[in-house]
Amino acid sequence: MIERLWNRTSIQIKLMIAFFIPIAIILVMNVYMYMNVNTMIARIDEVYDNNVRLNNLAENLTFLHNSMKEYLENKGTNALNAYYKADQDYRNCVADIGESYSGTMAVMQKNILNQSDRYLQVIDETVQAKRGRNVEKYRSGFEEAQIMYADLQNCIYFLNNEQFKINTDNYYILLSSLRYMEIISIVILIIIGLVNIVALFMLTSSMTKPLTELSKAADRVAGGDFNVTIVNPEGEDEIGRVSRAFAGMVDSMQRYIAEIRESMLRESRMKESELKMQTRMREAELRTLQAQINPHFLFNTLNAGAQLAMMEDADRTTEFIQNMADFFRYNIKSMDKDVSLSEELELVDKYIYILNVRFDGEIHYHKEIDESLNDIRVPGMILQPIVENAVNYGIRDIDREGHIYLKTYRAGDLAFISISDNGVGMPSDKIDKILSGEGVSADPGKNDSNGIGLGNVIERIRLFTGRDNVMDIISEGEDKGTEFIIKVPMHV
Amino acid sequence: MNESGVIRKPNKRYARRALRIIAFSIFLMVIVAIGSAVVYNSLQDRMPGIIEDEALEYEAHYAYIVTGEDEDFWKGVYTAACDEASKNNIYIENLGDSLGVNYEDTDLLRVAVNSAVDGIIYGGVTNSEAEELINRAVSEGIGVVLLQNDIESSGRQSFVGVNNYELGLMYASQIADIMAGEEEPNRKKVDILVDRNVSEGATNVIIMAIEDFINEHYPEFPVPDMEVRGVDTEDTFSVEEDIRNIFLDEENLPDIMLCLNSVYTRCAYQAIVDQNKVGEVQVVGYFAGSSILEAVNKQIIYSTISVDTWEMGRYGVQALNEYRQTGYTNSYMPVSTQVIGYREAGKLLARGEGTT
Repeated sequence: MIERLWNRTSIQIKLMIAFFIPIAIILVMNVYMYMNVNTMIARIDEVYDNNVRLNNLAENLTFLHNSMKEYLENKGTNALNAYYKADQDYRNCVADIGESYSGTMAVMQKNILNQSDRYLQVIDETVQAKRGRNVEKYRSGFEEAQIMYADLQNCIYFLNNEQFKINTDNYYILLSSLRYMEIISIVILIIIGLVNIVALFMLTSSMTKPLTELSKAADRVAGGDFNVTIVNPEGEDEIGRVSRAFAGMVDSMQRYIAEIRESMLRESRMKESELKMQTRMREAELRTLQAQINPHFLFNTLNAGAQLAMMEDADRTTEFIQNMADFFRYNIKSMDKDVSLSEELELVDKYIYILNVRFDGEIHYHKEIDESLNDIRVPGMILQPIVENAVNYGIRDIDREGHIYLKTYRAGDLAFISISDNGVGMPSDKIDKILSGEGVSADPGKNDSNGIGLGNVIERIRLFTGRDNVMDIISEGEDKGTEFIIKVPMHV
Repeated sequence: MNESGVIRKPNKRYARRALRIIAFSIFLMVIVAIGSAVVYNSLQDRMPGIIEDEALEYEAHYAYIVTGEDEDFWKGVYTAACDEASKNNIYIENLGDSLGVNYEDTDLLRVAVNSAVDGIIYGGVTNSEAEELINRAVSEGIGVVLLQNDIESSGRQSFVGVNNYELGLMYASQIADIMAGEEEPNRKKVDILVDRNVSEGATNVIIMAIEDFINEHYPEFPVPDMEVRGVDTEDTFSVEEDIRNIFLDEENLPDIMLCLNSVYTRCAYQAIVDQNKVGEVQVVGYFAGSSILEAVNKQIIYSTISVDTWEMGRYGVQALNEYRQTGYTNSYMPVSTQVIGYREAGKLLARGEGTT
């Protein structure tokens, strides 16, 4: 409970407590010492109180005696009044002494009081005798009073002296006690001071420790090390809030860094694929160059051929040359960009046309198209190489009629493009080789390929879609034909 | 890399430490406060003077007034009186000691009467002034007991001491002893040293007792030629001077010297030693203080008459108590006396007595 309260307390309050407690301790101790010393000084004052009273008594006695004597000498009214006043004063003093003593001192005191009584009686009688003009009596009374006065003074002096001796002893005891008190006070203050310093140090360090650790953590974070320990993240005071904020900040920073790193990774991957694509394109361009074909020259030549055929009314030749020109133009233009599926399908149609012209209609081409897929984007020049492959390796060397089937359909998020033949089929090891992309680079010197191998095609589709599984090749055995199924996402 | 690198560590440890520090500080303050209070109290306990005399309330208060001389003797009496008084919670005030001034016996008596004490034990001068004051005390209801020297004519309640006649007989026995020790005893010259203030009557009683004793027991011995020598006690050193003068006067040197108090005895002893008169003048002393006993033991002094100071003190207090309680008391209470020769002196010294 208290711990929670302490955690919730603000630093200002904590610091105030830290400073207030030592100050309060020292203050209380000082007040206590001061009171003790004061009490002691009061007692020292008291010590000589008795002496003061006795001195007072002696003085009053002298005054009384003198005023009596004065009255006896001149019998004035003033003198009489002075005498009565002195008499009253002395009686008051006697009453003041009262029960001040005990033991042997009390006996002496009793002597003084009794003598005082008698003395007062004697001087009263003497004064009365004087007033009554009884000369004989007041003379003898005065003589007696004179003697008693001396006795009384002696007794008071003696008691005073005895009291003074005792009081002096007491005074020294008190004085030494006072000195002890002083020493003890100083020692206590030093002890408390030291303990206070230690306590204050510990208290403040307990408050600043989280702060120190926080600053260390900040240093480490600044140095790039996010594995830091933060103390007091649940505290309610300012440090707790700062700690929490700092922890949150470090967390956010880490998250952002992770995200940036990932996007950078993705970007670099994309760059890599772009680079590969360019490599492939360069490869294709190289092939073209190897074929020593100047595309413009070829197109112009073919156009010239088509015009010539048109002029000679050779419609079929015109169409043929036109198709061929379109084929090559597409071939050149579409290598490094994506195209719609319908464009690809068109190219396949042109290609089959050219082949059927070449091979005299031996290739039976069937297509079953899902029109809704016509607009999906695919890399250029992916279907023609597969059809070429199906013609060259599938159905060229068979005795029966060769059929090529092209079918597009959709399943879920994927668009499927299936190209199959009824040719010689493909052994599974070769399928694996093709799919893993090894050893199937096209050999442009061989046959009459346009130079783009299956490996190239698969690689480009992979790069385009970002997926690995982009093609299945199915062959159920020798002479059972081969089916290539391209799988591309509907939206890339 | 760790998904979250920030380890959140609760600061319970610090919170707890801070609380502990506060608790410790408060605890310390309390401890120090209690500790200093204890120390302060113990300091106070060490001040017995401040805490006044134990509040002794005395039942009665007697004044003890004796002549300033003969201190050993009167100290013995005072000790005994105090001892007896303490049994009844009575305070005996040695008035001569209390009043620092050199007061006469009669002055002290006057102070005692004016102080309205409950009783007076008086062993001072026996002149008419003293008698008057004693009478005044008695008239005011204060019991007065006289020690050593009596004033029979006064109204005193009691006298504690040795009857002068008996004292004379004891001295006489010693004179006879001395004479018996000689083959042909001749008429002895005997000096009796007394206080000048002592009445003639008292000395006459002593002389009479001596004569009676010799005539009765030793009729064959010539009656000594006795002379009373008053010793001046007024001035401080006059006793010593007076006694020395006796020894200096070679022609009138006595054969036997009777000292009627311990001061005379000590002075005579010193004078004999100083004047080398050992054996020439036989001294019969008074009181058995240690120095006198030693003198007797060395046979410098022939013998001494020991009066029981303990009995004297006790009887004095007892007489006053009795008077206070009943209004009556014995008018004469004799105390034991003893003659101490050199044999007895040796024994007493061996026993460690004679210190009073």
